[in-house]
Amino acid sequence: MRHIRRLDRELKKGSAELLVLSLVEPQPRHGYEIGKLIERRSQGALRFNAASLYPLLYRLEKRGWLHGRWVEKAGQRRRRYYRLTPEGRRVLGRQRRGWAAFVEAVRLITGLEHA
Amino acid sequence: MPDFKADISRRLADSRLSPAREAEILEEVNAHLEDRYRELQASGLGAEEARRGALEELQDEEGLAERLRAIERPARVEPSPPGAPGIGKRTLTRLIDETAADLQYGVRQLRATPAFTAVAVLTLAIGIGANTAIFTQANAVFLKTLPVGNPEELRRLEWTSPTRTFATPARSDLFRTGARDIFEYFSYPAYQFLREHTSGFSDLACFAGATINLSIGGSAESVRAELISGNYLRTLGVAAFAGRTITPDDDRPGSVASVAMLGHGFWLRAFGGDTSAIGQTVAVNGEAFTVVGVAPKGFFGADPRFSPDLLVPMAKHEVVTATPKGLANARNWATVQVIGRLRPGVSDEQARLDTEALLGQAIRADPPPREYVSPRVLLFGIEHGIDVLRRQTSLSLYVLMSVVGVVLLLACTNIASLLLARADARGREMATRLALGARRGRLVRQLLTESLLLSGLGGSLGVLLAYTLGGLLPTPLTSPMSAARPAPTGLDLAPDLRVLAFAVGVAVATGLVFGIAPALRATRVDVLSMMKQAPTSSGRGRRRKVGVLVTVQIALSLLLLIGTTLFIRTLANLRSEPLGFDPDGVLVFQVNPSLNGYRDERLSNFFEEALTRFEQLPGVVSASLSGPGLVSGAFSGSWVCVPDRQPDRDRDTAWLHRVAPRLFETMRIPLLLGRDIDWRDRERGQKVVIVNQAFVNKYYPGVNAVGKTIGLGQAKCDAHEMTIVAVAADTKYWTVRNPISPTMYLPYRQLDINGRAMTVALRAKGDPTALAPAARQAMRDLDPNVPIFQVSTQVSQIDRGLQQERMLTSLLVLFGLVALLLAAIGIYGTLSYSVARRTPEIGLRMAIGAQRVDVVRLVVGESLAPVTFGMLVGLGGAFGLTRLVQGLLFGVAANDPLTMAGAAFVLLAVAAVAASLPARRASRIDPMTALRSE
Repeated sequence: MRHIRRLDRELKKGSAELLVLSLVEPQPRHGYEIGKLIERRSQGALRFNAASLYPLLYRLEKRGWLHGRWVEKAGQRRRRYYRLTPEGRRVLGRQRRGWAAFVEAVRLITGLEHA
Repeated sequence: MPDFKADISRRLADSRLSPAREAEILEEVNAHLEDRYRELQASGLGAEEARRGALEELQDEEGLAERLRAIERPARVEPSPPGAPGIGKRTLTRLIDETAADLQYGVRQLRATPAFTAVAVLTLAIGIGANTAIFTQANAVFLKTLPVGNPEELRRLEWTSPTRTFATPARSDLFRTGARDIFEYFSYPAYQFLREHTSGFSDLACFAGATINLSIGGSAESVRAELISGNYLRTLGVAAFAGRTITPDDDRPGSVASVAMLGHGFWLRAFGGDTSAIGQTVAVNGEAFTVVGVAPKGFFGADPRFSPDLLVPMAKHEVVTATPKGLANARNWATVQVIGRLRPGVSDEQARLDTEALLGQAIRADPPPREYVSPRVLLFGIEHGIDVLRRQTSLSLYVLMSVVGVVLLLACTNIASLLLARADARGREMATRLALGARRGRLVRQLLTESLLLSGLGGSLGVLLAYTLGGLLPTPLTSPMSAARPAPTGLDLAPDLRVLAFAVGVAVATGLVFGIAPALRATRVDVLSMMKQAPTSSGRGRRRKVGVLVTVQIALSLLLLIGTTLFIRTLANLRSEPLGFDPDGVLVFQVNPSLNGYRDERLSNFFEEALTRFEQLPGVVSASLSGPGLVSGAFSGSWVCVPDRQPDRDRDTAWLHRVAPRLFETMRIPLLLGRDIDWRDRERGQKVVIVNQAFVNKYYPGVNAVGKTIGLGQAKCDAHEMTIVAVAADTKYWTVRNPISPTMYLPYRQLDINGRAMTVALRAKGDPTALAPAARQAMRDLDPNVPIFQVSTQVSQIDRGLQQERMLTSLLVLFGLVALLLAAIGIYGTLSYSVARRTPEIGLRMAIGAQRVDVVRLVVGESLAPVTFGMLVGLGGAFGLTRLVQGLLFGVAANDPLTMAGAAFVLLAVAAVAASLPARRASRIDPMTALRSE
């Protein structure tokens, strides 16, 4: 049992980084927006609530993969926007390849074809 | 808009953030919840429902504070020194958790591949077990300290001097047995003088070993006694196990009471460990001694080679050694060995100088007639016991330790190559885990845990092997010199913490050695290509690494094989070395009636009567005696002088045997000229001698020596003392190794044999051992207090002298075979694996027309380069290393080309067989099947 939980957690942790990095790749985004995009683009299959999303963002920031900055726009409250650092971009590339490989491996093992 | 800040604050309370950082996070998360609240309201929920929905954002298994703490606080991310307060309990717990998981996972991995696990564990068990067994012996010889109080303060006194005319006879004076010119015996008066005047030592004590005839309740046996000064046990700091110790009062000259202590082992053997032994009377050489105590268990005095059965005060020297006035003789420098305890604060050099000056005074008190050089004194620590045993066995032990070290290295290379193969097989597993975000260091740690698990299993089994079967291993702890007088050694071979620590250390080191390369290799995978199952770009690299391993294996095995062959040939040479007599069918044993008071003519008559009785025993062809026995490890010699020959004081020596008539007949030594000694050659008759051919060649070259005269002695030598009556063929004298030297046979009746044990030899019609009971009874009929001892055949007596060689050879053969087996498994394993990997390639080659012979060439060729290279490295190593054991070899040069070529050939043959099996398998690959699996 413990093993399964561990694996689940590792899986989510491994993929979550990839998801966040992918979403801020085209443009800087704030936390709420990132959470919403994950939910929307996965058609509700994946959801990160604030309690796990922000620690994740801070961790990526701490590692130097994201850079967060408070931005004030006219008529809006101040928000923290996250953008991808050059280091983050390299990591993203690596993680993308790894993920592709993983998916390929799972496909090979399970024998499923791409939809 | 509801206020979420309180809820968030509560959840952040535990996060230990700085207030500024907390405020920042509060603001950001609050904005998130407000957005969420607005969104939920927009979707049509009521205020309360929307509030609850927004608060759900804060729900989390781990808790927000905890997650943040883990990220924001540096302790977890940055490495801190071990033991520093920065390492929290959590880090430790995590480490333990992970290790436990690694172990669980490792156990599963090992169980999943039982064949691999069994081979690996067994290989390791052999390697680690062999190392533990040999280390146990080395530990006993080199590292264990004497079981006495503060052994580091104890010193043994020895001396050296270019002219030793003050000292006659110093032991091993005539025929030096070693290269050392250092002597460990002193005269008793010199010892007494030292003890009375010493300022460097808080106490000086002396001891001397002796073999005695001990009778308990009417049955006599020959046992080992130690004469000790009254302060000996006090100096060593040893208390009695039961009863009391021997004290200075017991050691007063003319002390009326004769007391003795029993050795612990002897007490168990002879009295069944019954304390009622104390107070009983035993007869030492026929004289009554009262047992006053029992020595502690494991006590063996200062010399671990001998464990005395009985301890007796030095004052009883005359009774114990049966030499009258032996102690008082100031010139007899073969009497006692001296040990001392350094006075606190006195350096070794101070004590040495002080003792040297005193020794000079002691000699001047009774000056010798000729000039001499005052001896130089040397001090040796005896923390680990007197170092004679270490000197005698250290070379063998070093050889053995190197050999088992090589065996272990072989085991490591084997397992490393197996693991490398597995590393490839597990490449996909590693790639998947790396892709999922596992760190490489973490994976390496897990693989190393598996290796350590393996080596731990192998090590446990090895220690078990070492302690169950290790006792069966022959030990190098008996020297050829003591083979003639085998005595129980005081060496403690019981395992101690040091042995255990050694085994654990070896196991861990082994696990790291064979585990690290495969672990690094396994985790250095190209994730994508591995996943896609594309042909690995690193196949060539792996093959190179395996090639290196094969090279190492071949080199190590060849080294061991060459060593083994050298020792096999040494033993064979020793066994086939001509002795000059026929040892088959002869029973030998010793008798020492002088211990029981037989002296001079009475002693000579005793032997004559005994021989007459032995000759009449059924099954005896002839009986005789000699002292010392032939090739018994004991020796005796004399200076000789010859008329009209320029004397060479240093070289005019010869070995001697004191013999009875019919020795030449009994031992089948041809007499080349002249007559045998007979019973008419008595005390008052013309003195006669039989010499061997080597003697004639040296002292009477080219003449008929029969009828010529010689004399014994150095200063006052009468060259016409005795007449040569016969020339005998050459025989080996004291060991098979030593070359034939000039030897004399003198009728024992014409010599002083008081105090000397004589070796009786009986030539049997059939099995010589069958004569033993009758011989024992015959001696009992003559005198029940005189035992016969060391009963054996002449053949096995010679064999005992070869014990060290036999021991080394049998161990080397054992380990050599193990090495050969390991090398074969290694080559077979790596090639099999390679064939399995290359099956599609080989199938393809065959499909496009390759013949079987091409495939065999392909597979065998893969191992050819590393094998050849390994051979070269091994040969080179052998040239350099075997020279170190030249001293242990006999009749074969350390770099004997035939031996090297032979060993290389054997190894090549084994390698060929090991390679042929996978090659055959490869050549039978069906191209269609192979390609289909692609």
